[in-house]
Parts: sequence; C-alpha cells; structure tokens
Amino acid sequence: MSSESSQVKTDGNLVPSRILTEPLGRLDRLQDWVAEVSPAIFVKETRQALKSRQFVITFLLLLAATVFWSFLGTVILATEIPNSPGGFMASGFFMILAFPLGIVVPFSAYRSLSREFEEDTLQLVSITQTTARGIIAGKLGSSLLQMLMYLSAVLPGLAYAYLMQGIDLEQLWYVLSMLIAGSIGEIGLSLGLAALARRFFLRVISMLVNLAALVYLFVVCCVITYSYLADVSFDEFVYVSPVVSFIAIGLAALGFEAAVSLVSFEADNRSTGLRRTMSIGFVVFACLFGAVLSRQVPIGQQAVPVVLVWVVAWIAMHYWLVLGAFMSAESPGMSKRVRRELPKTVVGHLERGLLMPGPGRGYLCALAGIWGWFLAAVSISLVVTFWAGGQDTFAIGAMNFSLREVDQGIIIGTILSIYLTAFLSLFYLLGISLYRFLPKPRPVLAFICNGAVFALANITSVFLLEATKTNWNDYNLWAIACPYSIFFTTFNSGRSGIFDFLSRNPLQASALGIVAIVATGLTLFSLWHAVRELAIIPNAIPQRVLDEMEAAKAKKQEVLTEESIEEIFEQHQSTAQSE
Amino acid sequence: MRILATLDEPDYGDAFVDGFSVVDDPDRVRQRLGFMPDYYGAYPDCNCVEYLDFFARSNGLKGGERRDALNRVLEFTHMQHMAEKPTTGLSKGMKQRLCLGRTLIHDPSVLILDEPAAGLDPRARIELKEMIRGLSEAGKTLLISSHILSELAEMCDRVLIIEHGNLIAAGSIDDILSRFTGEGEHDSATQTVRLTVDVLDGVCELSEWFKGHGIEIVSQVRNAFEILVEDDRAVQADLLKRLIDARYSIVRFSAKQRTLEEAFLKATKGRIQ
Repeated sequence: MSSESSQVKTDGNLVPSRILTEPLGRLDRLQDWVAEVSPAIFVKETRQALKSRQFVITFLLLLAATVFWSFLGTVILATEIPNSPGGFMASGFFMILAFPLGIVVPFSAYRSLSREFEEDTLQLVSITQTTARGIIAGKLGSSLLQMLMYLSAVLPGLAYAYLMQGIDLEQLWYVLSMLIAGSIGEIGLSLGLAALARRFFLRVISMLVNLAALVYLFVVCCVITYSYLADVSFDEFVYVSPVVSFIAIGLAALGFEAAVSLVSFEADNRSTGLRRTMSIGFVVFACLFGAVLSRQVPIGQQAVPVVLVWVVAWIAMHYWLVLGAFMSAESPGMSKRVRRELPKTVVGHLERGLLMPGPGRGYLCALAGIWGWFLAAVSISLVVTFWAGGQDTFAIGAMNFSLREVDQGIIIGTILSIYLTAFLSLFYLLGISLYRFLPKPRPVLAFICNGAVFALANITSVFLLEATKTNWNDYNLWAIACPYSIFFTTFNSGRSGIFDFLSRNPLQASALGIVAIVATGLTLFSLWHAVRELAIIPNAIPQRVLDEMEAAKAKKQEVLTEESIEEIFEQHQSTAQSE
Repeated sequence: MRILATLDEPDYGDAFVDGFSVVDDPDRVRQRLGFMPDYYGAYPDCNCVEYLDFFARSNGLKGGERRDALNRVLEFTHMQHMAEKPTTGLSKGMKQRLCLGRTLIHDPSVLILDEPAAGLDPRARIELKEMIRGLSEAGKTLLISSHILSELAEMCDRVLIIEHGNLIAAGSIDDILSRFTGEGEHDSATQTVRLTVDVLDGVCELSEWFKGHGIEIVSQVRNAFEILVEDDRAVQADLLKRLIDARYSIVRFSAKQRTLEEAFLKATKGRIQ
C-alpha cells in the first residue's frame, strides 16, 4: 500500500488513516463532533479559558496544593491513621477545591462578560445569529467545563482521603454537590451582576462587591466543610446539602435569566423567562425550606406548628413584593415584536398572560403571587383545622401539628396581604408616573425609587406612631424594631382586640382610616389601569416575514423531494443490478 | 448606522433592510447584514483563524460550510499567512482586514462599514479600497461612513450628507456635486463657467490680455488665474487656441475640479463638526 493511500484528506490536510480508526483518532473525532454541535460562544470561551495564563497557573497551583496536602496531611495524621482520619483529610482537599470553584471560576465568568462590555465585543456578537441566551449559556457552560477541569485535579486527593476511612462516599457526595452547586450559584449571580453594571464606575463597584462576596462565601464554605467533615456526626447535612444545592441552583437560574434579559435587544421579550424562573424557583425553594424547617424547628417533639406555613407564606409575600417593585418598574412601552408574541387564546392567557412584559402585567403578576401564597396558606390552615377535628394538635406520621396559631396566621396574613397590595399599587403608579418624564426605560432607577418610597413610608409611620401614641401598653418594641409598624402594632394589639385598641387610640385609628381609604383608592385605580394592559391586541406578523417563512418552508420541502427522488433512483438502480 | 446594524433602537420611526424592520425583526436583518464598526473588538488568547471561526459559528455556519467561508474570507482579505497570529498583535491595517473578514464571514448581502479607512497607511488604504470595490462588483450593497470624502467619491455611487442627525442631501455623486458646487464651476444664471489657467511666465501681460479680451478674472494665485468664461466648450477651445497663438506658455487650462469636500461644506453651510 502506498503512503498516499494510507492517508485520508480532511480539511485540506493529509491525516494518516489509522488515526481515524484508532481509539485516539476516535476521541479526536468525538471532540470535533462535540465542538461542532456546541454553541459558538462556548467553544470560543473554552478555547480562550484553557489557553489563558490564569487557568494554567490556577490549575498548576491546585495540583501542587493537592500533592502538598496529601503529604502534609499524611504526616500530621500519621499517628491517627488507626482512628480513620479521612474526614479531616477530605476537609483539606475540599478547602483547596473551594478556592477555584468558589472564587476563580465565578470571578472569571464575571470578568469574561464584563470585558465584553468594556471592549464592545458583545455588540459584535449580538448582531450575529447568536441569541442573548446563547451568549450567557456559552459563558456558563465554559465555566462549568473549567470547574470540571479543576475537579479532576483534586479528585485523586479525595479518593485518597476516602481510602484513609472515616468518611463514606455519601458524605463526600453531599459536600461535593454542595460545593459544585454553590459555585454554579455564584457563577449565575456573577453573570447577572456583570450584565447589570455597564458604566465604568458601576463596573468597578460591582467587581469589588462581587470579589468581596466570593471571598466571604469561600471562607464560609471552608468553615462549613471543616465543621462538617471534622465532626461527621453532623447528620443534618443530609437535609441541608440538597436544600443549599437547590437554592444555589435556583439563584444561578435567576442570575442567568437576569443576565439574558439585560443582554437582550431592547425590543425583545425580556420579561417572560425571568418571571417564569422567579415563580418556579420560589415554589421549589419554599417547599424545600418548609421541609427542612419541619425537621429543624425545635418546637415540641418534631412538631410542625401551622405557623410554619405562615412563615413560608410571609417570606413568599415579601419576595413577591420585591419582584413586584421591579416588575412594575418596567417600561410601559411594548414593542411590536413583543405584541406579536402576546397570547391569543384563553389557555395562552392563563399560561403566560401575566408573564409577558409590561408594568401592568408585572403588577398583576406580583399581586397574583402575594394573594396566591396567602390563599395557599389559608387553605393549608383550614385543611389542617378540618383534619384536627376540634383538637389542639393532630399528627401526620411522626409530625404533630399545633393549631394554636391558625387564627393568628390568617389574621396576620390578611393584614400583610392588604398592606403589600397597597404598596405594590403605589409602586405601580409611581413607575408609570416616572416614565412620563424618562426618555428611555430605566427599570433599575424606578426600582430604586420604589425602594425609597417603601422605606420612607415605613419610617414615617414609625414617627407617626411615636408622635401619636397614648398608651405605652399598646406600643411595644416591635413597632420600632420592625419597619412594618402599623402592621405589627395592629397585629399585636389585635391579640387583645383590634377594635379595643382603636377605640383607645382615636388619633391612630383616624390615621389608619385615612391610610386605608387612600390605599384602597390607589389600589382600585392601579387595578383599573393595569387591567387595560391585558386588553392590548396582539400584532399580526408582517407580510414580509410570512413570505420568508413560506419560502423557507417551500425550500425545505424541495430539498426533501430531491432527496427522496434520489433515494428512489438509487433503490431502483440497486434492484436492477441485483436482478 | 447603529440602528441599521440592530444595535440601537430608534427613538421613533423604523428602518428596513430587505423589507425587514430593524426593530421588530432584528434576527432576520442580522442574517443579511454585516457591520464593521469603527472599533476593533479583539479577544485575548485568540488567533485570527479562531476569531473568524467564532464569528462563523455565531452566524450559524456549520461543518464544511464554515470551513469554506473561512478559506474564502482569508483569501479575500489576503490573511492566509496571518491565520495563526494572535489577534492582539496585529497592525492597524491587518486589524481592519480581520474586521472586514469578520463582517464578510456569513456572506451578507448588505454591508455597513463605519470609517473603514480611518488610521490606515496609504498602502493599506489602497488595498482596502480595492477590497471594497471587489465587494461592490460582487453585487453587495455597501453603506460606508467616512470623513475622508475624496475616498468616498472614488468608491460610492450615492452619497448622503447628515448634519446633527438631519439628512441634508442625498443623491448620486454627480447630483450632489452639481447641486452644491454648482456656483463654483457653473453659474446657471449667467451661463458661465470657471476655468483655471496656469502659465509659466508673463503673468502681468496675461492679466492685461484677459482684460483686453473682456474676460473676467475671479482670482489670481501666483501664476494661476481663475477666470469666468462662457459655458460652451467651443468657446473654451477657441480661448485656448488664442492664448497659444499669443505665445503664452500654458501649463494648465482646465475647468475647476469639483470635490465632495466643497459640496459638503456648502451643504452644511461650512459648519464642520
């Protein structure tokens, strides 16, 4: 066989044919295939990252630290080996791994996106066919790949710690999964932060904040890892690890969607993905949070008071208040492109009617979130009461439910929901008023204004109560310590009878009455204004776009037809030959 | 330009590329459009071919199609020998070629070039001009912005003059020149034209000769006269013959050259930004 025939021409280069059939050659082809199907930005980021000095230095340092700790740990624990000191050994490796995973990779992701803004390269990519989601996903993917590379350097060390005994695979997995998920969470949030900070001074501030947060999380991670692995009886990690991991992944998803939204073209739909992630993410978080609290709260013997449901609902309502402040601060202008995507059917409206962009829809979405959680908590409370059958407690499996707080929960939830609704309405009206003076969408500015109004209202109410109080017994530390002075004062006094309290404090009663009337008025007006947004009629797709879609469809059919004709022809030929 | 390139949204109104709105269908516009901004946008730890490969992938080119596009662009921009060089270490001219290559990688039908010749040395400028001419001959629509107006006159068919965001003038080069430099060369009211007559010597005598023959001298700089004569080629030919017969050593006898710079100054009323 000649040398020419033993070579195969690929990409214009002669490659020995054996390479393509040998295992390494197959690996190369697999690698080529992966590169071919991977998003462009992922390939570019990976190429750059793996060639960068920062990666090489970090990787070598990590290897050196792993080897160093293997020797040092073995020397330190030489006399402890009969006592199975694997936990202590593994904690050292985890701390080594926490540095690249907790600081280097998230900060690289942050810098990678931030540099795109600094050097205007993001604009060059954004005018290609790569979507904003593709850009951010590529950066996230590249960070995950780097994470795996770093992991590969420390895994032999962890295997060594496992062989020293004293730690099992399950425990290793809990810590490792938490570390990886934590790192993913940091990457997601770093990307969101990088996308948010566009101006130079904001970039500098955000970079410092991000770095400080990463270092802090790294230290916390080291402490937790050490305390866990040095004392392996810490069984709660079995519950804590999945929860922390889910929360971290949820935050990563939130940061990711925020980054996608911020990088997207102005006329694009920047809200639906973010709103959907926020809604789903919190439901998952609340379920996990409730599950863990039910294990951890030391009330009675493994008892879960119904008030726990209200604690989760209380957090959820505030979560929706913050989101509502942001969503109702969106620009009221809706691009034709978004109008084209508006739901046209009842099912479509139910599925994503409130997830579409716009301050009105955002306001209604947040209201739905608050009242949804309230109704869920009320429903659970009522079901629990019904199941209890008139008793103070009832049991499901090993858990005893206390019913003492059901009534208080419903009162507190009702007042809180009304209170937050009034604030949301104020945010919404403030946002749409602000946009009358702003030439361009400034959701962050509007959000800050909402926050300022919220703080001002609460501080004012504290001063008002301070100035008008008549009876010290009605006014405890809660009212000063908590910004919700009206709410808590009302609630605390409500225990002894709200009407009794109001009758003894006519000034406060009048103030509350005025606030209630104004808030009702604002809310009704906001609802009327916001509901009008739902009535916007979807735009038709332009004829030019329809024409092109038709042409693309016809072309596809044409190609298929040509292929099928060729196939038929080939089949016919082969049949003729065989005959 | 940034609005057309789907980077910015207009405050009001819309723009269309091949019938697609840049506001509502930017993705469809991007398939047809290549934008070369006035900045470079290089990536660290990345060589030229990787850089182009990235933009080819970003534009949805796959497999053999992408490799063909890379080869085509490297050949067109004469960058084959620079393929493995890092993008951060290129000269200005090479960077511009790479940027042009990036813009052409998905073979767009419309190209927007923002100050493509800025900062280039004369050789690089000539090469770039040839490339642009080649693209034009290949049937591509090019929109070029430049402050070097003499180059635009050589490259472009149509010109737009924009001042403070307002469209001052639009039309073919000849249209613009005749509209805005008409007074310099041609005065339709008096049917006269300006000619430059440059002589080797005898300036004083020639000045007297012009006056003696009723020809108006507009200006005189050293040996060169700018005169007003009838807008008739036969009259101008006769004048040249008479000057030669009068034994004047004529070095130059031409109508005043109209330039885009003059048209621009006239169109913008001299308020250069």
